[in-house]
Formats: sequence, C-alpha cells, structure tokens
Amino acid sequence: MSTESLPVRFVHHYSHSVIGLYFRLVVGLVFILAAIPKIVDPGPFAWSIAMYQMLHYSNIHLLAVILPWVELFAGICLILGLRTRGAAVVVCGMLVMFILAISFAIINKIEMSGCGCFSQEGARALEAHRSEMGTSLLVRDLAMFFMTGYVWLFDRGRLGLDGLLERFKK
Amino acid sequence: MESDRPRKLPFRELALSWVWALVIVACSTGVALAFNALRDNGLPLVRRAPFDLYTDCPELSGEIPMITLRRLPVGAKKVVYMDARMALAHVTEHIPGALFMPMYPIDLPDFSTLANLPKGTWIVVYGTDNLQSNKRLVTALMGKTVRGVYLLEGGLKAWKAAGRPTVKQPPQVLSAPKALEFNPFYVDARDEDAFAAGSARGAVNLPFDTTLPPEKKVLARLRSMKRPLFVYDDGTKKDADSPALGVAADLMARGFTQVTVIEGGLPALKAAGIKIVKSKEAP
Repeated sequence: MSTESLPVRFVHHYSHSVIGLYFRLVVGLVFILAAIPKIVDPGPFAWSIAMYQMLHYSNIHLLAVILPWVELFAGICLILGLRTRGAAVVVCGMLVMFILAISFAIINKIEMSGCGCFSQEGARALEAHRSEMGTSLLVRDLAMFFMTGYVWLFDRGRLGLDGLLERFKK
Repeated sequence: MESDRPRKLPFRELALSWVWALVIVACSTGVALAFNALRDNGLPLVRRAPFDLYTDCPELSGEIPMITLRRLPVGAKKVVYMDARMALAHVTEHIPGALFMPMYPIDLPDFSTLANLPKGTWIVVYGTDNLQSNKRLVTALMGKTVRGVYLLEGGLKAWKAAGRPTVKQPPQVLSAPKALEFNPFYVDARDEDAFAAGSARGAVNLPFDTTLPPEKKVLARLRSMKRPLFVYDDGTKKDADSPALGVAADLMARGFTQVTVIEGGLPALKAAGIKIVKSKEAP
C-alpha cells in the first residue's frame, strides 16, 4: 500500500464515498421529484420547452416524452448507487442542457412568467433570478452540476449497489 | 476496505461510465416511448403545429405584471416604453423614444407597430401613476397575444424622480398674421357642424375627440401634404381645454413635426384676412 502515489490514495479515499453518497441522495431526489410530474402530464412540460424558443416545435414532444424518464432513471441510479458514474454522466449532461437553456432565456430576456409554461413557483423563481443573482435556478443547477461532477470523479459507488455487486463478484 | 482498492487512477472506470450513460439513456428512452404509446393521453412524438405561446396565461389572468425602475437600466436595448396617456400629456413630457399608445375609453390603440419589435423585447407601459387606463393597456396587450408586458411602477413621476431624462415637445402657438407667412395648411379642430358652417379655405376637418383615435384617411391626407400644419378652433378655450391644442398634440404624437396652433382660432384668421368658406363635406 505504501507504494501507491498520493493522487491514487486521494482518489480512492473512503471519505469520497461518504461525501458522494450525500451528493447522490440530494441530486437523485431532486431529479426524481422533478421527473414525476412531467411523466404524469407531459403536455405542460412540452409547452415549457417550447417557451425557451430553442428547438423546432416538431421535436419538442419527443423531448418532453423522453427527458423525464431519463431524469427518473438517472435519479434512481444515483440514489441506489447503481452504475453510479454512468448516471452521473447522464445527470451532468442534463444539467449542462438546463444551464444553457436558462442562460439563453435570461440573456434573451425571454419572458416566462406571463404564461402557464411552468408552475407558478418555477416562473417566479426565474423572475427572481433576474433581480437577485445568487439564489437562482442557475446557481442551483450549477451547484448540482459540481456535486454530480464530484460523484463522477470520486464516487466508486461503494455505498450503494455498485459496491455490493463488486463484493459479490469477489 | 484497503484490499478493495485498485492501485491505479480510475481512468478505465471513468471512460466506461460513458458507455453506462448511453445504456441508461437507451433504457429510459425505450421505457418512455413504450409508456407514451401505451397510455391513453400519450403525446404524438412529432408535433405538426407550432405551440400557441402567445395565449393569455390562465393562472395570471387579471394580474398586472409590475416592474420597477431598478430592473430597467438606462439605455437597455430590448426595452420599449409605451405611453398610455393622451396626446397632450405625451407631447408635454414623455420618456425618450416612448411609443404613443393612448388608451381610449372606447377604442384600442393601433398595435400593428409592435410586430416589428425584436424577439424578447420588454414592453413597459407607463402613464400617470395608478391610472386605470394604464392597466387596461397592459391587459389589452396581453389579450392581443403580446408577451413581456409590464406596467412601470410609479409611472412617469417615478421616472423623473430617478433623475432620468424626458422629452418635452409641446405644440408651438403662433398668431394668425405670423402663421400666414408659412404657406400654411389648415386643420380645423372644431366639430363637423361648425366646420360645415364656415372654415378656412382648403382646411381639413379633424374634430378633437378623446374617445376615439383620428380617422386614418384624414391622417393619410395630412401626411401627403408635406406642408406645415396650422390647427385652429373657435378660439374660446384655452390650454388643456383647447380643441386645437388637443388636435395639434395628437398630430405631433403621431409623428407630424411641423404643427402649430393658431392663437385666437378662426376669428383671428378672419381678422387676418383669410377667406372663410362654407362646406357640406364631412371628413
């Protein structure tokens, strides 16, 4: 063990699994909670995607049908610690997409509160962002992005099904 | 736990995670498509018609979105101000570049100019503070499928209190003899009966009205003249009550630049030697 370099010892330190578990639970829960209403009723979600005016309308339904399920699967995988790093890649990808979309809406000053695209809370949060940087959707998404990035880099899924499967194999 | 540790940096696992990411996306896509196909109210996967994004929001109907000056930086490019007040108030003092959109009690203003605004433009309606007509204009705009409409909190008063610039363009007033030096084209601001009974020769009748916008035909005719316009009334009312001043202000608010009010009205023109003719022609 003493032959291992410092970076190797750092990367494989057990504390990463504990911190990673906390991050996985937070991000996973957020994604599951976000996915369920969209799966139940994808119509309003399609409308909210359209509000961003980034995609051609013909593609929006397909995205509105698939995206919530990807969120759900990735959220479940993160919480269970099943294929943790794969789920982290998926969640990071989605967060990058959300961050770009929100930035696009803010930069272009696309008005989203005067319509029924989001829930009232979501619309007000986006509104609040414009005047109160710091407690915004964008910052929340960035925080989740870094949490998930941490999971991808350092969490081997020891405290989850990945760890169980690894032990079972041996 | 120590015995479980691999002895290398986890490059292989990190690379493999992308494969697992694809597997997760593929699995969830399959489930999503199957679920959508099997459910009663599944969405068609390819949408054939654009989204009707410009409909009124049922959740916010009746709610007037307000905006404070703090959120409207000086020189913001994607902000258009809209003055909901009547013409005389507009030309007396308004926000630079503000669109003149008077909220008539009966008719709505012409919103056709809004079609040329770039996407994402905020429309900030202002007027006299807390005047119901301002709120009506915001509601009318929202009803006309325009998005991003706000009502400026505090109106023009708040704008001025913040030290922001305003434009003042009140109509010029000239005496009748001086007006004659300009080869004037006359606009009669009196009602149709008074105009028919006797008006300056060649004058166009544009009766002063605060309930309806001026007739488009008359405005088009005046635009085609390309001559200085001289507005007169019967000379009995002064300042804000003067029909000539009201019509002159309306013309200036609509982009006419050479508009002058004749002091003393038609009697003064008569005294200056202008020929008065009877007319049965209504504008």
